Amino acid sequence: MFTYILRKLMYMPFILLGVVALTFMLFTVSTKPEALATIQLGEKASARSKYEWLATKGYVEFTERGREKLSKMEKQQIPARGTMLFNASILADLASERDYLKSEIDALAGEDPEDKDVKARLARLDLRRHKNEVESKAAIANARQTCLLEKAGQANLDAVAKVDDLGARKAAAQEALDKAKAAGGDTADLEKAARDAAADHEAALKEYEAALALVSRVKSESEKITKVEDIEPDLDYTNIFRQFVNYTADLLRLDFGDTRQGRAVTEVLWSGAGPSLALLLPAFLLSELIALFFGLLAAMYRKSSMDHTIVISSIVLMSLNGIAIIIAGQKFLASDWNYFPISGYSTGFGATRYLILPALLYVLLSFGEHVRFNRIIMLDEVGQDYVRTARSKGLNENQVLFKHVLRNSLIPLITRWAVAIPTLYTGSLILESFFGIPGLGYLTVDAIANSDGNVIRAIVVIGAVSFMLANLLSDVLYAVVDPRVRLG
Amino acid sequence: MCSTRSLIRVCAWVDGLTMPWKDVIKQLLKRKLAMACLVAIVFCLFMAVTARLWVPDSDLTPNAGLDSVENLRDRRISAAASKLKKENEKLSDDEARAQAATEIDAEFKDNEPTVTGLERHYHPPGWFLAFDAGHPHWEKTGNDEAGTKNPPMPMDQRSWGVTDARFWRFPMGCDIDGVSVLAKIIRGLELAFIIGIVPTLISAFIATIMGLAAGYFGKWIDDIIGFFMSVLASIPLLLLLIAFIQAVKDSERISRWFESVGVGDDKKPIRLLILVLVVIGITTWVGLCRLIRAEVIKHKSREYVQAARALGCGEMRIIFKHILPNVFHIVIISFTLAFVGSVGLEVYLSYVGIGIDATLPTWGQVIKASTTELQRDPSVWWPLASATGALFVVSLSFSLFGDALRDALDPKLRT
Repeated sequence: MFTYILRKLMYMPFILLGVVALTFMLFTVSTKPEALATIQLGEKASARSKYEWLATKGYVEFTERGREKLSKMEKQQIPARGTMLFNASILADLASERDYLKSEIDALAGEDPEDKDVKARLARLDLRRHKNEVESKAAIANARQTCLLEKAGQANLDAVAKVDDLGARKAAAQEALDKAKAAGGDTADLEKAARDAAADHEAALKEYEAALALVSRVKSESEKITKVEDIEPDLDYTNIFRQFVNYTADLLRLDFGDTRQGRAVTEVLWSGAGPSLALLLPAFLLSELIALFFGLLAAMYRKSSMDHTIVISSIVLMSLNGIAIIIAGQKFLASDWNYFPISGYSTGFGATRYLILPALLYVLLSFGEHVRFNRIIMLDEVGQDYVRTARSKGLNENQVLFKHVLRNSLIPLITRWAVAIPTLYTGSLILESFFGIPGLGYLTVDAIANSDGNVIRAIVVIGAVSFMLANLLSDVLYAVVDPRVRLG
Repeated sequence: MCSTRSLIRVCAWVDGLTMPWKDVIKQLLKRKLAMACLVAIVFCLFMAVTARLWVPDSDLTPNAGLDSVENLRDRRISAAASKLKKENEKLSDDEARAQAATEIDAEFKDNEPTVTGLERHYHPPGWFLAFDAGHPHWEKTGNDEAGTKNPPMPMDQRSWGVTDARFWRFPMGCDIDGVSVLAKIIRGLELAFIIGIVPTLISAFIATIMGLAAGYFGKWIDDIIGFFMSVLASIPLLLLLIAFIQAVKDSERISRWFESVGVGDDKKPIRLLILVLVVIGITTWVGLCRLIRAEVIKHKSREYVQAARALGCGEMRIIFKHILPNVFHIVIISFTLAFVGSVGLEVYLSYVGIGIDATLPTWGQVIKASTTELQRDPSVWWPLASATGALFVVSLSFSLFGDALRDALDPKLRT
């Protein structure tokens, strides 16, 4: 048996890798890394800090030019606030979208312009084209500005701006001098001031000319950026395999990231496990006991009216929709007749009153399927030879059922129970969200509503791991409980 | 067909048919419950196929026939006209109306009359009101022309007599928007059948191909397919669906493909529905595949397969002509169960809010909307009851029929 367990345990990492790969593919298709950074760092974080975080995580790689730009931003040579960082993939997307829209609009140009469908399509395409244009123009303008800043330097741009200022000062000083001369006062200081201002202005003019030449040269160079394709990118998404490797490494370290509110996902999952288990463990035990009891009853009184009632009620309960049962139960038992609180939870033992109704509903929901399954298994056992032998030996019906049939029918049941354990952990999504119990199921529904990818990913991976372990456990239990079975 | 070789081939094929279809059908016909379920299923199928005849799209618009902007405008014009006439005795009826019309139109041009201005009352089922004359549901919602709350319906306008047309207007009541619940249920039936059949077909197709390949060829093909099955089975179904749907919902390429096929941006609900159905099909084939694989492995070493191989039949021919018919009963049985499962899954997805647009009149959306409707005072219970009842009937008939099929096709599992 140990070799079997070992073999299965060896297969597990591959399947786990497959699960991780599947979730990775699904999540990379739906969320861009920038969205991940927004979740992690918050909405208000600057693009620069987001990209730096993405670089540490391995999602993004800076080019030579990008690293230069970053260091210049740090040394304050380029204003950090207004400068965009250009992502090669996003630029490529902008360009390809523009081309696609152009070709679509051209294709529609040949059609009847009065047709309602054509008009609607043209309107939609136009809207998208406008949006694309706006984004491209913003990118191009920013690229030009950055080029100007980088090549001409802030000092030169300041010089171009400064000369007017100095000119104004010179003119003011000259005016003051003239006024003083006209008034006939002491003009020595004013003359000195006027001469200084004129000298400053001359020096500034020289600087200005040099700067102007440089700026106009760089400006003509920056004017060359007319299309999105001309913009030099600063960073790019890394190879998808590298992203996957980093993602898996994170998972192995159990680093699932942060939720949108900023709490660590691991901590959130840990705090959610308690209420989930508090609800589902008793509910599971209760429902299994009741299903066992009724299955046994049905097998005991085979073909009697009790058997028929049990079969019919289990089929009826199976066909009724679970959500409708929960809604009706919550409305009548809690809202209208006030036997139970409608929703909510409290810590400690006070939580029991909040958990009774959900547990009852859980029993009702799982009653149909489980009773049917149990009944089939027990009827199978009751038809076996050893039961006939036991009866002919003289055992009474009770002994036959509880000592022989029950034990033998527990074999498939135990394997089913082992596989049901992971579902206890992942919680019952609907029950918890209806009754406001802050367990893992409620967490999942919340995460779906908020598009919180980290939480969903974590729960999927944990669910998969626990499912595989539970399968292995059920195989082993099967071999332990049934000596006829040889594993492997 | 006269050569000895082909004759022997046919004999080998007939010999391998372990599924006596004529006997199966005869056995099914004997069981009355199964036949009743079959009749119910056929009836539902007929209603689903002809649903658009019974319930045209106009029946699903809010306030269909109860009240509309034109009626509101007429009422306002009459009220304004009578006011004008009171002020100015010399105006004739037509002039007063024309003046009032210009006034009211000018007022409506600037701001559309909102729905609260429209008069409507969510009507319980007619037969229910017959027992309860003083039911608070005779309250009219909305405001009247003066902006005050509408008074309850006058006694002589309340109708519950069986001969009254309005009694039969809403056999199952109408919901908050004034749409008859029966109309929603019938259209929901059509959608339920689509939701039941499409994913089941897709998953059955994938499962048979994978199962046949894995069972027949064995070795490394079996390992690869087993790997995929384990990966898909390990992830809880709902989370997998949600992740999948989130991934493909906004995909650019898929939108472009939809536009090229003709389902444009305006038909967004249908796009989303098709996506969801395909995703359900792609993710739920594992169970059936396991069953088919086990059965194929059992059949692989039977004599008729050996005989066919000895006669020179190619592998493909053996798989599809000899083994597949003997494995097909599993597909049929699981079809009925998967149908029910798919419809239940849709209700679940509607509740969680993923994948099904709120404008589609599916049963899941009705149940979802009923959560808030039940909290009203007095509570509006009839949409929930109707949707649950319809779902119950469909689920029950498919389950019972599937059970009967299983008994007829697989005697070992008889209980």
